[in-house]
This record gives sequence, structure tokens and C-alpha cells, in this order.
Amino acid sequence: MLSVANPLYFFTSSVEAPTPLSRLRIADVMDFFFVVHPDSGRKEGDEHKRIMYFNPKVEALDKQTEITGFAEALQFLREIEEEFDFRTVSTQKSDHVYIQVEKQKFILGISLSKQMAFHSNYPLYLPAVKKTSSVIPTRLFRLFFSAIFGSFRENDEEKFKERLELFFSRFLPLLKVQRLPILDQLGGVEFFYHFPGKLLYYSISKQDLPVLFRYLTQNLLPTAIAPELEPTRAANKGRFFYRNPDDVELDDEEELLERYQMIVYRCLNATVCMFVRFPDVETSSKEQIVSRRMLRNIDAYLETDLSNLASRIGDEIGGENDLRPEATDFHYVYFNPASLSMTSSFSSTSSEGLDGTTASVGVAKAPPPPVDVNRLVCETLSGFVSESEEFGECFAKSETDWWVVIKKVNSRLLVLLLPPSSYQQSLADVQSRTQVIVKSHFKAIFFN
Amino acid sequence: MEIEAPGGSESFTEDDIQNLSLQQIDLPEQDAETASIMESDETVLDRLACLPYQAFVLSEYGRPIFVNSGNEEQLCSLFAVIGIFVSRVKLWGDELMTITSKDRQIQFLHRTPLILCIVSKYGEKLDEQLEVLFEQIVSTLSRAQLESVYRKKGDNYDLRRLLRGTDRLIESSVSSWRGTLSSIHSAISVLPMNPGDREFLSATMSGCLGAAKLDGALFGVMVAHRQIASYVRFKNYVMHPRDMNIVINLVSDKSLQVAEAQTWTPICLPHFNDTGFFYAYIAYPWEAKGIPACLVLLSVKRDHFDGLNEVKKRILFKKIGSEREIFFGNFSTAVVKPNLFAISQIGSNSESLWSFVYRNHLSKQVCISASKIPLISREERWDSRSDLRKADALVSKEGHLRTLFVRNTKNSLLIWVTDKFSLQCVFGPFVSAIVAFTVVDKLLKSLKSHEQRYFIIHTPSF
Amino acid sequence: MENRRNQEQKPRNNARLPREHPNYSPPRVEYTVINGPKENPEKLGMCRFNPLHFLKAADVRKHEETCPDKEMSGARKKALLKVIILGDSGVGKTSLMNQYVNRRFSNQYKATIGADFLTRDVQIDDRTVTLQIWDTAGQERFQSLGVAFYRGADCCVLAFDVTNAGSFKSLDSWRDEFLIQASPRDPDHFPFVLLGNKVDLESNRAVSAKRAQNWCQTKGNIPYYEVSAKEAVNVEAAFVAIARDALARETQESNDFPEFPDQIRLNPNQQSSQGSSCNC
Repeated sequence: MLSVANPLYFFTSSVEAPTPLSRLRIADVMDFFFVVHPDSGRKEGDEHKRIMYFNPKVEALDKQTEITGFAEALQFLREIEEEFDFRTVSTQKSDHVYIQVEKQKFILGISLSKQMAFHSNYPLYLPAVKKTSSVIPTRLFRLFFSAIFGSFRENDEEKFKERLELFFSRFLPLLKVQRLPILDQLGGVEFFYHFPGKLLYYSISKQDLPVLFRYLTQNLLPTAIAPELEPTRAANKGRFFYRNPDDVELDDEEELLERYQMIVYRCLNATVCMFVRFPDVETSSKEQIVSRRMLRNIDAYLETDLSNLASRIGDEIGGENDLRPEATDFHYVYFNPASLSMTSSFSSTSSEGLDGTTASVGVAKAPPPPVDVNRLVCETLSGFVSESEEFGECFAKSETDWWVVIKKVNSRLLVLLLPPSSYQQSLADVQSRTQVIVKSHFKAIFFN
Repeated sequence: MEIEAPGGSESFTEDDIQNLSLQQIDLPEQDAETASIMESDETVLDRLACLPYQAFVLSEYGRPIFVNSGNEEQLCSLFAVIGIFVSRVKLWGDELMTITSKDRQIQFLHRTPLILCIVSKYGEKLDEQLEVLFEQIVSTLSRAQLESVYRKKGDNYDLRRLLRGTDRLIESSVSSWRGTLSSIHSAISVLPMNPGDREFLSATMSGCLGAAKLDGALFGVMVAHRQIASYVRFKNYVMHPRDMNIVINLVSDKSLQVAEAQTWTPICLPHFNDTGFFYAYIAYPWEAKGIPACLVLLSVKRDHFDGLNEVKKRILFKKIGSEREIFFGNFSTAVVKPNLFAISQIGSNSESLWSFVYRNHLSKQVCISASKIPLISREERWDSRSDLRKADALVSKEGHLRTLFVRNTKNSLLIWVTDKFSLQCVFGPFVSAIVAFTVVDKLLKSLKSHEQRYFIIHTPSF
Repeated sequence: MENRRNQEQKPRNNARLPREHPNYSPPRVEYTVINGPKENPEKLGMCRFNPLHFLKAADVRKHEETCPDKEMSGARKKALLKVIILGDSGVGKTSLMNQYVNRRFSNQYKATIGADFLTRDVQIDDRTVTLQIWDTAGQERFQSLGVAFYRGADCCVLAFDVTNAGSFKSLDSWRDEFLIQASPRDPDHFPFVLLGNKVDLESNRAVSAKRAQNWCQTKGNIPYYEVSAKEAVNVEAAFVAIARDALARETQESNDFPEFPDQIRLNPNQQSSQGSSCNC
């Protein structure tokens, strides 16, 4: 039985947020996902014991052993190639990413089917796949479960496997990737330029922010939708997501892990995520740190203010359509690596998120870009716009007459995807169009 | 705007280059030297790691056949692992293609009964390079023989015994990659020549071959610096660029470059026919005079040596008198001091253009600029070539790309792809798109007006 | 072929640069010259050191004397043998091999892809033979790779534990398994070697030498060696015998030169469609 105190309580497998066009569920293109602990399978005949988690479970054990053995064997290619923090493998049918975590004690692997990706119009782009499907879950996993990884004991693997099972069987179905893979690759967070599902303020480390934000908006908050839609609830009553918050490990400034308890409090459609630091790991139990009384105090303190804030946000959204950028006839992605702030015409069209309504914010009225244009964005960005340089400019035209424009100024990045138009035949046309767009839409946040 | 594509529209097809113009952007890297024959396998690995491309050829069952730099015995465990990786994925009903890590790419190709593998920091188009490597091996044995050899001699047969002597050719094919742009594997580079001289040479070659009436003699090629000076053919038979590349690689072998000697050697040209053999008549008629030009005559008949030897004599001595003297003078200058396309000849604004590669899609010929200021130092040329290589890979990977203009602090890059041609240019960092296109426009016009100097517009047949 | 063996055994001239050296250039020799009056065109021959050297039959011998590839061909290529080690898990294959090999490539492959790969050089007279040893996992889990493991082998080493009768009984199935998967050209005469391991534990012996030798006789006189991880001497003897046997077989191979039987038959369809069909 899953106890309420269990950190996995807040996952409910029945919840599936509607998948907007710009995203797809990774489960829809996935062949397999696994976590192995190679040291557990060293003995001849016990090779399968290295498998700690394997999805799909229906795969025969021998095949699981073969697949994970192959992944493990890859690291020994150090004979010709030394470093192994990750490897990607491309076969005719699939793309795989393998990464080593926790001081190389564990290997995570994922394989995505090229055929399924093709049918889903998803441009398989390995660096983005790596980020989404491996780095994020690992880091997320670490946020919540590093204690588990740390407490891995050779003799108590069953318990460890159980926890992995609980985590990943709920996490994977909710994990989504962007059809424009650079959105995943850049790993930014959408701030409050467009509501909903945007960030207002944070005070945790920048390393933790994207993962935590992704987790809140994609995994945790969707579970809140159902009760909020019940009409009987007092609309402006605040509530906690779970009574017994679990510990989380966040990076402090020196990138050392510290244990916290996480409290999520929500009122209307505003959510506050708070972290309470553990005073001493050994002596205290969770209930003692965040007491009912403390929660009551928080509730009393936040409820009014937060509901006011939420109403104000609601008013702004309702009343300021004219203040927000009008629906554009192009697509864009803006990313500031310094603040991790990201905004794009893709995620804004999605309503996934907090209130469950489908009212689209509809920032772009441009048609969705074809899959090869999406891939072209990735290829040109990673191939021709150097990460280390602060400035750069790139214009690319596809056979379908779509133009991709990438501008990097002071490390800030703007990507425009311009649908075919008779006004932009030449590169000069596109350059001047870009200037116009920057002036009218991105002047405030971009070039000053 | 209708753009005229310089370089001809005749769909003749040739070879690959590597040539002189490439030597100018070519940066011979320091190959680790081969030390004593009994060096340890760690040393072999270390030395191998210094090579830009590490190529492995093995049998399907893990027996080593070739590794560039030799000493495959030392690495036989590594060969076995490569074989098992490929077999493992094959048993899953799939095919292993690529493994990548932070800064290395490993590409695999399984062509029964061989497995080929290449490891490189430069991941662009390694798949095509493996095809080229495979064809290089086929050119010695033919596909038919390669496929039957293990059946005839047993799975444990050591294929190195059949390839002995030719691993030098495999080696030179592999090491030629680093000097070149990958698109060039399937293209031909032409030796710049006066149009009249080229015409004279081609007419002489086709005339003499035609007059000999040797049934089965199909091609005649004059090669210098891995570039084609002239190419003639029987009726409408054509040679694929990759086959031409195999011929060029063969005649570049030093052991054949002997003054006043002729070589007669069987060679399989897999794109033409991968089961049978051509016989190549190879001569370096002016080697003694210091002119490194090679005449290759190809026939499908093994008894044509004497006949082709006569053809060669006639080509060399057909016309006596001033016409031949003038031709010979011009030709030796063209070979000894090749006159590559100089960017300055296109006029104003040309200083902003640093280097370019032009490729005609129909005639499969390329033209590469001579290097110029500021691409002088090894590093500068290397950077520029890396950019062109990336651009080239992008064009072939994203077949729908039509235009790309990139500006960064170091330089600017312009790619322009049409159905007829593709052009990749490196500009200085301050060039505007408008200026870049103006220059490119002039460049195309200049190439067009001199196209007979830099391209073979018409291939005479006999 | 006798002649060739002699040439291969000539000592190398170390004063010259190795051929991989960038400055290496082959000696300039006049060869491959076929001039003069018309010869009978059928009498063409090939240089034994390089199939590219294809010349008048009468000139072949003279050319071969000076062919730049002569000293590079046979002698440079050390012989290489693929050797498979089979036997139940626990018979001590791995510890035996650990003692014996020059270098263990990695001892992790067995658990991941079913075999470890080891290298050992053996000196037979003045020829070096490299053994590529495949130490396979005694597990059915990897049997699917059997074909890739076993095919192309020059020799199969069967190993059992003299203190474990069960491991001896398994030998038949290992041998059968090998012959089925490897499908060698001449299964009746395929070279096997039997190693009885752990003879240092004499008091626990469960399989007598006699019994093992009898088994070997019934399988066409397989050589039998008793070994222990402490005594690698017999292991060495076993592998020297393997290498010697394989070299002897190799010299029996007569023709190691490519054949060029197939003349290209030209058909009119080959014209022009050839090149234009490829848009590389």
C-alpha cells in the first residue's frame, strides 16, 4: 500500500493532462527505458541482477539483460575513446541515449523509435532527447530521491527497485517533449509574460529551477485540476497539496546538496512552492519539522494575499488582451541563459497546466512549422551559433520557403520561424523583416 | 531570377578529388610515425588516437583485416568487440549505425562478409566514407569474389592474404579524407587548363582510342595531382565519380609511378559493375621530365595491353610539329604550376570573400578557390575548412536547406543551394548579406565565363 | 608455395623506413614493363606480392625478385588465429587465461556481451602467431550470439574441471554446440583441444586422466592437457601446439591470389543510365 507519507503519493496514474500540439508524450515514441546498477550483475549467471528498473515490463528478461549489457559494454569503448558521461547510439530503427549517474554507479538508458517519432512528427534530435529523457529525470530524481540512491545497499535491492518502480511508472507517462526540440534543450523556464503555467518569482538555485518548475507544471499541478473543477469547493480557499511534504535536496550556493522539505500551497490558480530546511538529518523525522501548526500558520498567512494575487493575475489575463503581444504571424523562442527566462509562441499556445481549460492564449496564428524546419532550427543552432560566443546571427531558408532566424545578442537568444510569404524572397527581405519584428515585439526584453 | 549554373549541364560523371587546389586548404596532420613492429597495443592505440580518422575492417566473425597504420594483430580484441557490437544489434533485427560520445563519433557499416568501422572527431558524413572504404576493397577483389571467398576458403580465412599489397591503397584512400571535403567523394575536380589545350588533348585521346577500334576499351583519363585534365569515353558509357576516385587513388600509388614504365592491372569499378574487372593501362609518359601526369586507359579485355600501349604511343606522338609543341608547353605549365581559381579575379568587393567551394549537381564537378589572405596560417585554413565541412554536412543532411547565412565574430558563412548547384562561401565577419550576395553573383558570372578553364563542359566520346 | 615461405622468413631489413612512415617510398624498380612484339595475350601472370602487379607470365618471376611489396607482404603480417574457449562456468577458464595472456582487453565484457577478448603472441620458429582468444560466458543467456562467437574460429579449446564430473559430462554438448553454430568446412577434422583444469586439487579429482584421454580418442584424437592455474606450463604447450597446427594448415592453402574470371559483359543498357542514376 502506498502510504500518504510516501513522497510518491501525489502521483496519480490516472491523470493525463491533455497534450497540446506542440508537445508529445515521450511514452508515445519510446522503445524502452531502464536503470541498471552494473556492479550487481558482475557474477556469471547473475547478469540480469543489474537491472533495477526496466520499462516496458513485458520485455523478456533475457532481452532486458541483452539490452542493458550492450549499454554497459559501451562504456568500455574507452579503449578508443576515453570519456563516458554519456553515449548515444543510433541504429536503423532507433536512437538511444545512455548516461552514467551517481558517480558512474548507475546507468540510465532510453531508446526512442525512429518510426514512431516519424509518425508523431517529432524530429529526433539526440542532444535534446538526452536532456529531456535522461538529464531531467535524473536531476528530478535526485531532487527527491538522492537519499534513495545514496542509501542503495547491495543487500536491499528489492526496496530500491520498488521505489524506482513507483517513481518511473508514474513519471514516464507524464514526461513530454517539445516538437521543437531546442525548447527542451535550452531548458528555460517561462516567466510571467503570459499566463498560465508561468513563473513569477524564485529564490532557489538556477540549476534546480528548470527541473523543479517542469516537475510542478507537468507532474504535480495536473493532479490538482480535478478537485478544482468540483463546484462545491470554496473557490478561494487555499490548500496544501499534501499533508506530509517530503524532503527534497536542493543545491546551495556551493552546489552542495542540502535537504529540505517541500510544501506546495495553492489558492485559486496561484501556487507557492516552499522549502523548509532540515536542521539535522539524523535526529528529526519529517513530521516534526513541518508541523500541522506550521502549515496552519502558513495557510493563515498566505490565503488572503495569495487569493488576492491570483485574482489580480486573473484580471490582468482577462482584461489585458490588448496589452499582450497580438497574435503573431510567426513563431518565436526567446531565451536568456542568465535568468533562464524563456518564452515562446509554442508553449503559450498550450493550455496544459493549471486551470485545465482549453482557452488558448493563442499567441501565434502562424501555421505549425514542418518537422524538418524544426530540425533545421536545432542543427543550425548547435552547428553554427557558438555557445561560448555572446553574439551571432544566422538565417536559413528551407525548400518550403520557411525561414529560420537566430539572433544572439549578449548571450540572449531569439529564434524566429517565419512561414512562407511573398514579402520575404531574399535574405535582405528577411533581414529587414527581422528588424521590424525585434523592434515591435522584443525591443524591451532583447536589445537593450 | 534564372541562375546559370557554371560547370556544364552534361550529366557526366566522374571522380573525386583531392587535388591540388585541395592541397592548398589541405593541412597534412602529423601522423604519428610507425615505430617498431613489436610495439605494445597501448602504443598502437595511442598512435591511432592521433589520426583524424581511424578505420577498421574486419570479417563478420571478428577477424581483423585492416586498420590504418597497421598492426591489426595488436588490436585483435578491439576488432572482436566491434564485431560483437554489430552482431548484437543485428540479432535484435536492427542495424548498428553510430555511437557518439562527447567528442567522438564511431560509425559502423555491415556489408556481408565485412564489417567496417571508423572513429573520428569529425563526425560529418562518416557513413559515406565507409561506403568509399568498402568500394576501395571491392575494387581489388570485386563484390562477387568478396562474397564467395569465405564460402570457398572457410570462415576462418585470413582475407589479408588476398589483399596483400593493396592495403597501401586502402591506407591512402583513408588518409585522403582528411585533406578533403566530404562531398568531394562523389564529385570530380578538374585541372584548370586553357580551353584550347584541353580540347586538343581530349580530341587526341578520343581520336586515337577510336582509331584503334579495340572492342571493350571504354575510357581514357589524364590525371594530374588527383585532378582530371581530360576524360574521354566510348559511346555513352560513363564512369561514376566514385569509380573515378578509385582509379585516381590507384594511379596515385607511388609504386606505379615509374618513368617509362607501363602498368597493366585489373581493377573492379563497383558502380560500373561490381562483379567483373576492368584492366587499367597506366603510364606516366612525362615522369622523366618532371611532369606528374598520368594516362589511364581502361578496357574490359585482359588482352588489350599491347593495343592500348600502341594507343598511348599514338596519343603522345600523333601530331608532330608546332601544335604539339605548343600544347606540351602549356600542358606542362598547367600541371607543374596549376592556376587555381583566384577570388581576386571577380573584381570589386572580392576581398570580403575568403574562400569557396562550388559544386555543379549535374556534371558532378567541383571548383575550389585558391587560398588567399587572410586564410594563410595553418589554423586559419583549418578553421575555414572546418566551417566548410560543417556546411557541407548540413547541406547533405538537411536536403531541404536552400540558403544559410551565418555571421559570427570570426567570419561569415554563406550557403546557397539550388537544384543545379550548391555554393559554400566563407566571408569576413563584417560582410552584410547584400554585399555577400552581390559578390556571389559576380563569382557565379566569373565562373560561368571561365567555365571551360575550370570544368569539363563536354566529354568527347569515340 | 615453398618458395614463398622461404622469402617470408628472410630477416627484415630494419634500416629502411617502415612503409607507414610518411617519408617511406618503395624502391624504384623497373617492372611491369610489357613492351615489344606482341606476346600471346593469354600468358599473363600476377605478382605474388601484390595483385595490382599484373604482367607477362615470363616476367613474373623476375619482377617478384625486386617487387617492393615482397618483404612487406607475408612476413609483415603475423599469422592470426581465432581461438574459442568453451566449458561450463566455474571450470576456471578465466583464471587460466588471466595467467596466460599478454593483456586482458577488459574483464567486463563477459557479463555484458557474453565474451572476453584476450591476446597472446606465440613464437613458432621465427614466425609470430597472434592468438585472438574468445573466452565465452558459460551461460545460455548469450547463446544467441553463438554464431558470431564461434564462426571463423581456427581452433576450439574445451575446458573442464577435473574435480567436477558434471563439467566433464557437458563436454559433448559444448562440442556439438560449437560444431553446429560454427559449421566449419570439415567438422570431422576441426582442431579441438581439451584442457582438464585444477589438477592441483588432486585429492578431489573426479575425472581421471585416462577417462579424459579416452573421450579425446573417440572424438578423433583431440590433444589433452592437464593444467592448473598455478601451473601455466601446459597451457603454453597447448597453445603452441594449436598455433603450430594452424600454421601447417595455412601452408597447405595453395592459392591466395584473387581470381579475375569474370569479364565484364557490356550491355547497351549500361550506357549513360549508369552515371545519371546516381545523384551522389
